[in-house]
Amino acid sequence: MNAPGSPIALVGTIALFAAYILAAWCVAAGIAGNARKNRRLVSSAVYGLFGFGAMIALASTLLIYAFVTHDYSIRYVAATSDTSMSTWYKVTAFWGGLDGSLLFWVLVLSLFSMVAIAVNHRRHRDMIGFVVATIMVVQVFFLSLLIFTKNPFSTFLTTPPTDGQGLNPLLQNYWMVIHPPSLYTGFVAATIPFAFGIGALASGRLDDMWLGSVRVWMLICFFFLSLGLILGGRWAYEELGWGGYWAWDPVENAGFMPWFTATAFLHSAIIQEQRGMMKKWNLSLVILTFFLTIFGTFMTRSGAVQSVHAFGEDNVLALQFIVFMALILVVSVGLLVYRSNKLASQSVFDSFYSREFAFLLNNWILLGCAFFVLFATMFPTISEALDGARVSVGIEFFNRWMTPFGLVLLLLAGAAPLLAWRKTTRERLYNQFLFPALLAAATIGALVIFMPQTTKSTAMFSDTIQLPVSLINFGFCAFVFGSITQEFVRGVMVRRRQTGSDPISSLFGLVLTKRRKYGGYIVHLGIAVLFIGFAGKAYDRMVDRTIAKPIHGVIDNAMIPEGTAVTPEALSLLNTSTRAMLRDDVGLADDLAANVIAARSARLDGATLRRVVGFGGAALATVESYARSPHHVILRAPLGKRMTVNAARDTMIAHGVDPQRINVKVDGPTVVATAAYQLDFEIQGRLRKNFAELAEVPIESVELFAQPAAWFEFSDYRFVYEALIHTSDDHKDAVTAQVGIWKDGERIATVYPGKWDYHKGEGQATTEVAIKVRFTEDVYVVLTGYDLDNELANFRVYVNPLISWVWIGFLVLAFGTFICLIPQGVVDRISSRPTSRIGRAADVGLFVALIFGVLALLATQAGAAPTEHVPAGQGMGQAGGGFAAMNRPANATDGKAMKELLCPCGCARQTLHDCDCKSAADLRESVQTILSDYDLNDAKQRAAGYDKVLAFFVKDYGERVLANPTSKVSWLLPSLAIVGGLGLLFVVGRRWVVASAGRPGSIATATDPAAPTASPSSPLADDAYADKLDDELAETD
Amino acid sequence: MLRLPQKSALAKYLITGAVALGGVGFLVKSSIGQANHYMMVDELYKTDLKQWETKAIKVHGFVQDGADAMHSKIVGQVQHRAFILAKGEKKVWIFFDGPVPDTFQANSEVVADGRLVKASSVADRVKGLDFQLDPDVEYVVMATNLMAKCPSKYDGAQINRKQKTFE
Repeated sequence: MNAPGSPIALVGTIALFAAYILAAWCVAAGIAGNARKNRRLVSSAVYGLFGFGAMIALASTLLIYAFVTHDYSIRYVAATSDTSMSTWYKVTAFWGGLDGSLLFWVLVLSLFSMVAIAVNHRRHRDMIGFVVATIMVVQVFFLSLLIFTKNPFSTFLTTPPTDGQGLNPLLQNYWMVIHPPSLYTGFVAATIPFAFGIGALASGRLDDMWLGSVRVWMLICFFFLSLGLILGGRWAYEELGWGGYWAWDPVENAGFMPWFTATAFLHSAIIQEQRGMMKKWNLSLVILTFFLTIFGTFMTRSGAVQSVHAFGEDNVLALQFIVFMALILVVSVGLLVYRSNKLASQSVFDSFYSREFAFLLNNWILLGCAFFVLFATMFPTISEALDGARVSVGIEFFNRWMTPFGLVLLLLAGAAPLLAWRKTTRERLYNQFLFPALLAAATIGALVIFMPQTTKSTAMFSDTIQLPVSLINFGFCAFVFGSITQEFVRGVMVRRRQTGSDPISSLFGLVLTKRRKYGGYIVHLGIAVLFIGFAGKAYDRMVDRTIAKPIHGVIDNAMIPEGTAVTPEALSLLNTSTRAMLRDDVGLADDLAANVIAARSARLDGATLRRVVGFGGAALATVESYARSPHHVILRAPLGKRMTVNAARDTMIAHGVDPQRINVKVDGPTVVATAAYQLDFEIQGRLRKNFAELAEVPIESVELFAQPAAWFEFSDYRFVYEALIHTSDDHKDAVTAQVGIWKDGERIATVYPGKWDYHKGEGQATTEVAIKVRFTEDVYVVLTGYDLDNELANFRVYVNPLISWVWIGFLVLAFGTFICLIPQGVVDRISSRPTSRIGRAADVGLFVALIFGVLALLATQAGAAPTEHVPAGQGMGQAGGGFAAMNRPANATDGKAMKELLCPCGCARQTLHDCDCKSAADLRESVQTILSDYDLNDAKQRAAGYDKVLAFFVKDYGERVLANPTSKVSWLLPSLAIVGGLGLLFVVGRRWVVASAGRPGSIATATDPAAPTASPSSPLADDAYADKLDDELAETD
Repeated sequence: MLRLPQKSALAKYLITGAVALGGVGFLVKSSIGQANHYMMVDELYKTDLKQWETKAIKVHGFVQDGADAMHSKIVGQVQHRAFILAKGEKKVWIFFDGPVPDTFQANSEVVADGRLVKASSVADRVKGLDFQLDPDVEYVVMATNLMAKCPSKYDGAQINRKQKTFE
């Protein structure tokens, strides 16, 4: 740990130490207080917990303050933020790295524990000391990590940098701001039930009293875990650009495992309440849930499991976690065994047709899921430990196993509410299951008849077991809807009979009086809706397309049907020209190409085509994709008195080219006329001849060529690449493609997929996905690559059916959880004041408004427009306010040059591309001015321009302006200088030694003749020294 | 009468144990069957190459520099690519039609996800890309996905960068 160099760091570190001491005191006082029944000691532990909270709040505030005020003397601040970031991201950079996220963990746990203790300390007096002690043991663990190895307040020993390194661009995203805190909150919330469980075990107070408090906290844990997982999915979907929301990444799995056990507990706790059974099981689930949160953190923070977004490998941290996990297991299992005689079941299972059995089944499956996810996530680690082979299992493997588990759970979500406790009579079974089962059967029948694609089979477990999974899934979803609706309807009818009120009041009354039951049912509905969304996964489609040029000047009606239809009369003409295209572009043998053309022009179906052509799959696919991609026909003629834009247009119209598909423009000395579809070759020939006549040049001087069109069709949509736009702001360059999406001849959207290259991102770009959300499916467009020099763009398009239902399902789930969490006090207030009808109506109205408020809030979260789903130029930060945004690279060549040249302002070896000073902006302009004399479309000219820029800068500033000196000679010169300098030093030094040996006691006071050779490079040498020192210290940390 | 419930309890434990064991056994077997093997290019050549024709692999190496080592051509809006991944002296050709990572360039570190196929089966592709494979190339990788190795700026990136310099 370093000595803090800034007052913030000093006070922050002191606050952490104070908190550490307080936490240790709380552990001791809490245990001793309850064990010796000393209330004063217990009280001191409780107050200690609040003092601890204050210290952690102080430390967190200081860290945020350091971020906002750019205190780069603190290493963590310098590593995860920079001056150009918006204040909002500076605040969230708090949890953007490992050190801060640990502090954030401690902060959230201290907030939660303060609330939990404040609410419960009078109710559970004889165990609250143990509860506080348990929480504080966890805090001591995390604080010890913070203080001894990962202090977020540690400072630089050497000169601090003038600016920070910036937050990872992937984290500078709306969803990333709210996703980690939410998942952390879920993780942290699992500590509270664990503490109560341990408190109950330690104190021996194992009646059902503790269960109530634990259940509420487990529900909060469940809610935040669900929220964290879904937000993580949303982030992945919108930011990572791979078209999906769940990839079974170890970090996601780490959050999913405790979710399973928490869900299992929420169900089995009901059995304990109702039947007095499964006490050991419930305590085990509480312990397991907490253990899995710590284990998940261990997995992702210690590098035990490789993941795209896991933190780095850290053996010391891994060891600390292993010791802590061992402690948790030993103590909690020990206590469980010690108290096992007090945890006997008060009753037994009566029948398989009972609700408790359904719950038990649900518990086994959920636990099975947790185990499976754990196994599959750890599989690479286990396998490497056993036989050294590095293997992993893919998304497919997870899906094959988790799908059947999920389907059984879905069925249970519908079936369990229909079953009675103890035993369901045959009559009741029939009565309860009839409607939902009929609804499920009807749904399956309707789907088979009207949407036969839903009968598609998917592999379960292994390749051999194939099931029509989505059909089963939709049937089960219908079953759940039927079952839950039936429960609501029957409940409302009973309540109407009891109270005599109208159906709406009865519904509210029913939900409010039995919040847990009906809230739970709403959660089940949400799960069914989520599964509708999951089912869409089986039907997603993806394509990669590369388009050489955008349509310049959008031709809106470039919606041409497949342009390959060729009249038999044109076949003779066609063969020569198109055959040449196929031969040159596709590389097919001449006669083969002729066959393909003949086959296509006769409009043969695919199978016949295959037979006619008679060659292998790969080549056929190439020809097919060639035929699928339409072409523009482009004519270039010299501009002349008669050869004008209007003349060209008129000529084309006269030859029957669709006026709405014509684009004519002047490009230098030529007129470029584009017909945005494939013309008959005869017409092409006539146009060329007429253009030559107008321009009064020989026909060879009019260029005629076909260019692959700027659009492609996929899954009933047509995507038209319209423009490639380049913009910049203070800390990033953005390249955005404008893409028009058409369906059935209508333009349905214009989207802007892009890539953002952060100036400090070390060449790492973020993918800015563009999503057109439709009711039935999302059209998801990714710009996967581009070339600014020639405007080539690579696109990847996904069509994701039903995906919106995943987000909607979560909203329903969240709403159900919210109903479950409404405190009794709120309900009492609404129901206990029948003073006047108006007063009561006002209360109910207020409550309804509150519910809708929560819903609206959730809906805005779900529907929040992703920042990247905007036209180019928007979604960008401040531009023009700083020099960083001025004269940004306009093409690949100037960008390359700017990255190659160091800014001579002396700011820490930054390139012209990255530096945000004025000289860098001016020099970027110089680069662009020099390059403006060259035609960058031509590879030779491009290279010449680039060399000219470098030569210009080397002439003015010397070789040191180059970030990477170009030739071997340039490395040789400084090397020779160093060798020479050393030689000189040796000669001069020897002379001194010899001389001073001659004159004993004399001191060399003369100016060191070697010094001037060293001094010009000294600022750089200092930087190098600082880097080295930092590296060395980082290793000792 | 007293022995009956004991018997049934024993049966319950036995059945539960058998189901759990069977499930775990099946899980382990199936995960081994469907596992995706991860190797550096040089490690790949230490194995029997034939076995990878049917199994998914991840091959990790450095993108080789040079005009002969990287080919790309757009045919019918599909960008076909072939390039060499190398580790030390060992090299393998990768054929891929999808998008490359942002950091993809000569000497960058890449993991190619895919299957090993006989070089003869990509003859058409090689011809389309206008180059020739060495006659002694027996297998090439048909990739379905390319990943950049550790582009992240998380704390771990530092450590990974250091490792890279040792390689």
